[in-house]
Amino acid sequence: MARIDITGLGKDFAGIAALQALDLVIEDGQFVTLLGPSGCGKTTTLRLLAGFMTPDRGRITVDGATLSTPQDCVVPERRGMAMVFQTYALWPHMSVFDNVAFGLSMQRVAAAETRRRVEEMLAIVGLEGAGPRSPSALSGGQQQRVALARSLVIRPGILLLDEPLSNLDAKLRERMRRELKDLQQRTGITFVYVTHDQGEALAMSDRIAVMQGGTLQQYGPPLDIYERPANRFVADFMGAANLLEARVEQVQGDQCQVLLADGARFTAGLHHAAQPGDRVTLMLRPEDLAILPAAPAAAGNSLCATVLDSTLLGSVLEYRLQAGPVVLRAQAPRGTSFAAGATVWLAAAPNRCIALA
Amino acid sequence: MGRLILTPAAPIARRARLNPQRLVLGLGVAALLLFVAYPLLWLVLGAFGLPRGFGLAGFTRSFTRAANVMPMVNTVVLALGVGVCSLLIAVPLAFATARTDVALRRVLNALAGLAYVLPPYLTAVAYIILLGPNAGHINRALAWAGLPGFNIFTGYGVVFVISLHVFAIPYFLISEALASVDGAMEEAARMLGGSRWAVLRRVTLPLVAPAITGGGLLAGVASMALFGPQAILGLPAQLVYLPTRIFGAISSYPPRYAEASAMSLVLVVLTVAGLAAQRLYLGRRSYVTVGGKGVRPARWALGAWRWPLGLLLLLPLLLAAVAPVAVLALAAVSKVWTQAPTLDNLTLAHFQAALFDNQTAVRGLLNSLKLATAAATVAVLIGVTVAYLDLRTRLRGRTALDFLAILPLGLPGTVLAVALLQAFIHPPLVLYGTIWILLVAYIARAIPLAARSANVALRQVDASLEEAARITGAGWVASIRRILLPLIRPSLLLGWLLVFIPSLSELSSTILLYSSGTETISVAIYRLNDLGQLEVVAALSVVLIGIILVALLLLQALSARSRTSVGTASATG
Repeated sequence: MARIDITGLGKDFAGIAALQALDLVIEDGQFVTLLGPSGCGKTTTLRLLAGFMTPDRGRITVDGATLSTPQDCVVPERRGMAMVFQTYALWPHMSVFDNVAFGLSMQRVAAAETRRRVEEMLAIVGLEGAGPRSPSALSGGQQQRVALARSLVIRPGILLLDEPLSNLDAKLRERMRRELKDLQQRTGITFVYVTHDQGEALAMSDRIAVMQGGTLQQYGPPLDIYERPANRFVADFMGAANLLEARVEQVQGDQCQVLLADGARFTAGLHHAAQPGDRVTLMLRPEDLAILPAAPAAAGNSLCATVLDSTLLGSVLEYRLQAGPVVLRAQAPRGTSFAAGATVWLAAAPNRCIALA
Repeated sequence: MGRLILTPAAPIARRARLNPQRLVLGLGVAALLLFVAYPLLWLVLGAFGLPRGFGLAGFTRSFTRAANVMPMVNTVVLALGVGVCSLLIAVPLAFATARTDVALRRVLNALAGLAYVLPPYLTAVAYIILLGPNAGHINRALAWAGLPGFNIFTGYGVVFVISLHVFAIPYFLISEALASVDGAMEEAARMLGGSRWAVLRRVTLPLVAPAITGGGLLAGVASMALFGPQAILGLPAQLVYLPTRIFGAISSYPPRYAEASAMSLVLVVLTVAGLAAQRLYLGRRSYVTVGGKGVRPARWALGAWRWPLGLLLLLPLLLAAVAPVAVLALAAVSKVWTQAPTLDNLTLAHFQAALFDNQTAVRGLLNSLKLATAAATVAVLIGVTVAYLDLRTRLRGRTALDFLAILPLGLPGTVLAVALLQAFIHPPLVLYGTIWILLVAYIARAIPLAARSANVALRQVDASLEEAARITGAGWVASIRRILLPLIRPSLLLGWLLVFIPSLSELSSTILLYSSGTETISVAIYRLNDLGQLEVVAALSVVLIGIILVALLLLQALSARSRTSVGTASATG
């Protein structure tokens, strides 16, 4: 069992709050990602969790036991956690075996038991027989696995991961995502994963905490965050988004009708309190926009635009379109061809449109 | 597959009450305060006459008595002269070895290093043998040829001998700067139509100009502190510099502490001004590519001039490194040093005297070995502490500690001795008259270099390597003992040797702090030279040079090895 309760957590550097007042509950056995651009406070949060830093405000408890307060901070080695570092931090003067066995020797585990558990763990990460080798003789991906083995062999309740995939090439990164997720599910260890890569976060997490400027912007399952971002920052950070200024005309439950500057009307989801007349931002994802050669039959949820150019992204084509003063992005299947300068209509289903505060 | 790993095995517990981290680091800080800050406080207090009274007499006497003002003038003239002469030797040497295919490059470079580690007072003694007014070998040869001789016991002689020692500072600085200039900058200028000379004058020279000026300044600053040659060559000619004047004020009866302290502060001001000028100059105009990345420029092919130029450049190095060692070795095995080295003039009696019979010499050798070993060890420990606090903690005041650790650089040995004398001659801590005060002096002098090497060593180990140990269950002590220390051990050993070598031959501080029974090898050499026993001095010098050479070879072997091991550490960490 390892449930983490973070309440009002704050940390200042040189008088500037790197982390303001974070409240976060991480349930036992979950894969939680702290996501945000650099300087958002995610790494500070992770280092506070690890006990490398003492908070200036707030508290961290694990399963009810208080680990960190500004007055008292349990040292890293007594927190029952493990950590995988961005640089892997493998000890160059030790063999792979000794690296993995280190934590066990700190727990004074007997030699035979140590050998058995290290071999078992190396097998789990796919490095059978690599024990006698030097870490510097391994590839980046293999070093990554040694770092994982070293962390998991001590059977931590919580594993902290600090951008562990950022030093790998794209193909390997893809594969390690799957393996990490798999490993987390098999072990049931609570994973706290820090990254600035929204793709990684969406692919692996049970929950994502999106952070910006030392504050939590949104916390929830990946799909929720992608489809119902809480604000402009989250919408923009999680994938591509067209953001349009609009004004609320009517509110009906969790839907509303908004009016754009050029007179187009959209029905969109509404997840915050709003009154008719309020300014909002209408979010339209490029992949949710359909490009039509003529005006759609039904009125509403469409706008007129002029094609600027197109880029092949691989599986789809992305068009840039001019709609009044703004440039929008919309994706269409390969094979479509709208010439530059052509007038088209962009339409989106109401359940794909969100009005943001 | 089900759950492989069930419950956390490491218990979640409260923080341990005993905190070894604070204990160890606190000890290091306490040592630094005691060895550097406390004596400095006493130096300043002493200049105002304390604890015997309070007044400005020390200062007024320093600036009004001709016997005190002349040494100040002499010291500044010495620094300027040495600065210029050092550059005359260093600049052509550095350019030739770094940028051309001149012959003997490795020999030239090695001899420059040897010239620097050779204790300058030994060079002075050697030049008495070579250029003493009537009896010196060269002067006798000149007289035989009907030419006028050169008297080494003059201001020119002091500048000459000291320059032969300190030119190595600008030489290595300029070489390093030249090595780190990105060759692409020079190639770019060549591509745009610049000739070799034009590129040298308009691109390379301006790029390394800060190193040249800075090197000259450092050489001048270093010359001011060298008590040995100033005393050995200056005092017989009544040529007095600040260190020798301070020495006189302390050795008189009763010792004139206030005056000595005030003049010490003057010397400190001169030293610090020189160092600050060098810092400013280097800081403001550093265009040199750090890390030496980029293109390595092709060496300038000299063709037929390779050997003539190489031999020409070899000349000052022969004078600086080879000749002193050779004449000392020769004198050490000669019955009478003025006689020609014929078979019946050969003897090992002087070694017998130096190593067994002469009690001062025997004690001196043992004391120096003990002191240098202990001082290097303690200084490295303090250095690691300071570097750790600076790089691994956010402790308030760690910048002040860093400053305290480099402070002794601005303290010539004589000044440090005056400070230590006053700090440890009366309670609460009386060390004067024991060997401990010498140990403190050696430690204090070694701290800047030790802290520097520890800092470099620690920077090469990423903090995450220790953090990984902590989060995997190791306490602070275990993370230091099993991760950090094994990784920095080669670098620390290197730093240890770097401070061991100068400690072994330290004279400037020792001469003021030793007492009967705590003589060192340097004191033995200095005093026997005073007594005119040049042959025993030479024998003792040969022994000292022998030990230094062994340490130097060890250093070379180690640095070659640690360079490769550091490479792998940074590749994975």
